[in-house]
Amino acid sequence: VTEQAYEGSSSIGVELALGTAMPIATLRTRATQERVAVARQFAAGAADAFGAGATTGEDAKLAVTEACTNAALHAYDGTPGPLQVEARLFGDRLVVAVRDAGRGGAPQHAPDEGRYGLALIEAVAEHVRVESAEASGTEVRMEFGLSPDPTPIATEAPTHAPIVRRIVSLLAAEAGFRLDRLADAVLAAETVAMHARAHVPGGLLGVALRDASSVIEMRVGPLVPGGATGLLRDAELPGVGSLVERLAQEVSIEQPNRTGDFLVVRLAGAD
Amino acid sequence: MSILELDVEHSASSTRISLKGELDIASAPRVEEEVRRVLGAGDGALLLDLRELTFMDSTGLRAIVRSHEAAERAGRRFAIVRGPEPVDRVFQIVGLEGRFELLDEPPV
Repeated sequence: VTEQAYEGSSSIGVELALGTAMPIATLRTRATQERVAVARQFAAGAADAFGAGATTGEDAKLAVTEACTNAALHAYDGTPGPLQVEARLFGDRLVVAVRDAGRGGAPQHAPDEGRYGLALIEAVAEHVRVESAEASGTEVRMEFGLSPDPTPIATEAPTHAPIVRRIVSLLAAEAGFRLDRLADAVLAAETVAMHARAHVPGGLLGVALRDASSVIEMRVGPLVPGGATGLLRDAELPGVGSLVERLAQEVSIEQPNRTGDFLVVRLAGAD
Repeated sequence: MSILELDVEHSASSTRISLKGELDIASAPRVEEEVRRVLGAGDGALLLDLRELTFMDSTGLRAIVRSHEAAERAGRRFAIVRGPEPVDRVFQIVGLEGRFELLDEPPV
């Protein structure tokens, strides 16, 4: 979904599969050092979206950071390739898998360099499994126990909002957004993410983000035909009107193949 | 704005480098660079203040280990002001607590 949503290597895709009993959140990005922070915020946001609790979120942040750092350093020669992080709730566990499509077959770092990283993953995750076959990439699969006091979020109805809020905040800060613009961008993105769920045709909802100097573009879809308009209407507030249109620099609706809508929201860092 | 902000404060006997934000592979090189700069610029103790650090991973820890080694080579006292739990536990997990002079100061 998201790979169709934005061409190009710099985009970030966040998908939420809602159709099954076990919702799955997936992040698609590139294995670069700069995107490790995005993966970390995705992990914290997914833990939040699934109601896994703050302690679990903190553990997942650390372990995902270590696994993604490893991918950024060792998976690819030269041009960074794809990096995927997948999170799901499975019974009383948060299961997170970090995958690359790189050279594989490599141990976790050189021994001296990597022992702290692996020690940290093993300390915070209850179970770790690394699969790394020659030329078929590496998968690090980690399981985390849930916090003793998981936040009582309706885990059967997660939204992108906690994930999108964290990632947009990070991208906006890195893109040099003025603080008030950063707050506007986070609110607009979170509002769109919260209301998107009601307008999805199937069980899969994609949010793609593209960042440039002082601009972030968010593309949500595919939504049902007319879904983009419906989403904007749902997000209207009394006395304010269309909140998203007030906060964003530009809002547009694309219907690439007439079978569904994409809502495109352009967020700007300055006037 | 970066994920990490560095603030350097000089006093008569020491220099304090305060880290605010997240210390990972993207931001760790800046810490080592700043420590090298401070070590080259004067004398006195070097304090690395982690109280406003919200996240640190193994790459960040290695940057601190190397900073410590650089300070020792320069014959300078090197101390760390403890950070919040998510940061502090990284020292404990890898068993490096005993290697550093760790100071407790009230939260900022």
